[in-house]
Amino acid sequence: MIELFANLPPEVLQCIATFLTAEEIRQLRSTCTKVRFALDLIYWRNCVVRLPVITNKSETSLLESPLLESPLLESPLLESRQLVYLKTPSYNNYFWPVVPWRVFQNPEKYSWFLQDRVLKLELENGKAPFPSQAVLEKYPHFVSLCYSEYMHSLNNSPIGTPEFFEFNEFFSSKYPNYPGVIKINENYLNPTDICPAMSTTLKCLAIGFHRRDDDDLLDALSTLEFKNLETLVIFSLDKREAAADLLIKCAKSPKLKELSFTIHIIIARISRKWKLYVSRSVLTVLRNIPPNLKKCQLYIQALECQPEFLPHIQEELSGGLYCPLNESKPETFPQVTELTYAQNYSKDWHMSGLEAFNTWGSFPNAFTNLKLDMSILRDNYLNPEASFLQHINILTLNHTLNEKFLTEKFLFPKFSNLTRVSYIRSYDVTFRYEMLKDPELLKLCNLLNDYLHHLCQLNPNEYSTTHESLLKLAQKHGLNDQLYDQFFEALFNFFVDPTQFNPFWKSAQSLTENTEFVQVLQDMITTEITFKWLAEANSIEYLNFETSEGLYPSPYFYNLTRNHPSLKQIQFQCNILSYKIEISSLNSLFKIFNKLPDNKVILTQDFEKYLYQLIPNVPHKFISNFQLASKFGGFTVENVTILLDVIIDVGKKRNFSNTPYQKCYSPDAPFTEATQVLKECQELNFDDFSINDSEFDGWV
Amino acid sequence: MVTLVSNDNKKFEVPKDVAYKSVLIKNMVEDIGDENAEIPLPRAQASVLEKVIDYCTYHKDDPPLPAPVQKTQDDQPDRIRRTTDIIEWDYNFMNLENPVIFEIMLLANYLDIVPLFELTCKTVANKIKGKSPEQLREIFGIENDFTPEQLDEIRRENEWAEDP
Repeated sequence: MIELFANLPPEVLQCIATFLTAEEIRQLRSTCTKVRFALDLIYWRNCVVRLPVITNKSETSLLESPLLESPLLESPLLESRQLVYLKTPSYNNYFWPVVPWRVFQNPEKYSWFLQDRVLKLELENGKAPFPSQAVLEKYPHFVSLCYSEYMHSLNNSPIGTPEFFEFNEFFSSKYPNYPGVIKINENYLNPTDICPAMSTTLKCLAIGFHRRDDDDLLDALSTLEFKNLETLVIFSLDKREAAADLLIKCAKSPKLKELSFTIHIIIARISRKWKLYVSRSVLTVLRNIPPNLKKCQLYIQALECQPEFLPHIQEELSGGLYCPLNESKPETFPQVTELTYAQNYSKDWHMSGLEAFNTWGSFPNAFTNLKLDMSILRDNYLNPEASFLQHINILTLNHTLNEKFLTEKFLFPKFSNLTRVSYIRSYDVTFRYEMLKDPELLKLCNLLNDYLHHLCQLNPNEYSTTHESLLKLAQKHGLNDQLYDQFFEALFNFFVDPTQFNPFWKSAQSLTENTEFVQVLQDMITTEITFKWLAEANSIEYLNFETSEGLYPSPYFYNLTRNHPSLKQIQFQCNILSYKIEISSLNSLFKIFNKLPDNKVILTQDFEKYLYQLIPNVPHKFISNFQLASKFGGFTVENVTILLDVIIDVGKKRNFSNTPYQKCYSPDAPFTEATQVLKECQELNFDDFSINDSEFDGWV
Repeated sequence: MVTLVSNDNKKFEVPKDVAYKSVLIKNMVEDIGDENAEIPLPRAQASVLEKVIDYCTYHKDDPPLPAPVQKTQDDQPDRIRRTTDIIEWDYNFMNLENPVIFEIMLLANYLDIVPLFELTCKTVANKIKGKSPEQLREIFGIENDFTPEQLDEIRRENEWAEDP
């Protein structure tokens, strides 16, 4: 029997612990290391220290743990467990069993907790006071420091401010396993007091710069030597000499494995020529990237200098703050392993800047990602022959509906090394037939629906044989009037070759003034062109397709899911429904999905039938994530949203057709034969499998 | 009848309603599609499997347990579950040496027989209740492998936990 108990699997020990009080678990945890480790989570999950005076100051500080799932509720002491709860109205997703207030009031006594549990420190902006005197030098085991703040524009800056959402994404996805995070309001806690305690332990340092007075933090950090640093992330180096100094200093850390930083290239049109500038600090950093890094990520944003700021740039040029790259010798940066050219959404953005930069700097070992808005795919922005496009491995294509979009020709470059595409389609309109009150348009929509479904059954080379079918469908829907002849002809020709969309687009516009209907067709045109281009891109292996407002039955998308010479997998992310309804009609909505008693989602076979009906003709699919969110919007309305993630196995590596669900719902087996009930399963976080990661190798 | 084969190749002919108390066996039979096929259970010792079959035979007519309530974000932390709701037959059935209880517990977990697994957990929990760490080590044969630093940490942790 020796050690049999201690060697029980952790989940079994945890199940036993559900029958024990906190005190009994504490006694059990004191028997040996294995039991102590196995019961760590369940013990701390249910052990909370009261924070009596913080309820009106709750933004000050919170300890959070990604391991724990439910927020703490305000509640009196529970007699059976000596539990008390923290009310955290502002951050009710962030919590940790021990609240810092009490700990910080008596740091000597509780320092063991901070030392052993909290590894990541996040400083953020806030307005509430915090007992800063209590926390000094009590964090010798922190391994990660994240300094962030809400977006502020850089006053007096000649350039725009970069998007900053990557900052949070970095920490939310990169280090999900850290047991604890402490968030502290930096206004009341001087980071310079904390940093010295981390000089020997810190493994990850991430800093974003927004404000001028961030220099205080930089000064504090620059006096330190991080002997244990493994990861360094610096967003927006810009003109900060201090940031460059810090990066160069940290880059010499003997254990550094990962380096990630963002730089801006400034392009300015001077005397009809594009001039390219980077700040001197950026150039210094680029020239001092250490060798032998496991990963070195470089984000490049090309920002156009507006004419009114040209004198400012000239002034800084003369002061030596900026360096003109056009006149510099080309340089090579073999240390960079991942390179991202990102578009700045807040400013006009020119590919010319990246082309010019690419002629100056070469990155022979970098896996390269290009992030674009589709509006770039027009004549005056894109040179499809640009040599640097041949280096692109990942393309992130953001597609927002643009009124002028169809007035110009699309230019899809021939990327020869493109293996992954992320296509994000965000529209305000979708095929909502029920919203069309005009009976004639309703007939047209029904015809389109039927015709699209018909095309979905075929391969594109068969679309040219469907003219007769289209006319029959028109007859079926009572649309055989001569008024529509031209429209039908254009519709037919459009699907045969979507790139020749102009006749279809013009005939649709002349047909009706209903803007919603026109937008739906515009959506269809741009989407079909894009999917046709993807179908012809013979090097693509992975496609992430995200659509925020559902998807009509797209023939070229269906084609892509079945026939592609190189495509292996598609991740299809779809926001299926999002609408407000009267509470009185909630029941009728829920009837669609079976019953939802007590407002809790119960997934049944009806649900699954519904989901499979969304993309019925895709045989090798696997629903990886399903979320239903309902939001109370007042006394009379409820907002219901359904999010769906599907992995489509185009390469047919995984034989999903043999799974019980797929057998039930494949096109060969009518839905009525379904017998399996969908079970709740462990959540799969596909965000961890990012298409942008150089080591990404598919979702399944 | 379903034929279960233990890891020492002993065969047990078990009525279907008894065998189906195990979700694992039920799924395996359905996957194979042949109710007469032998079901190999490589993790099951014959002596332990026999005890498990005894339990399932006695409880074959029990209604299934209600489905666990899905937790939401607003749920409070776990409440302690009762260990006193053990019927007399189960209590006598569990009157076994600790190692045998652990073996049954592991097999019930493997075979996905939730009521039996919970019964073993409750039985073990009852043995834990009210005991000091030293007593628990003696009862379960646990070796105290804490380093002096860890013991110091536990001491400080306990100081905090006992704080009024």
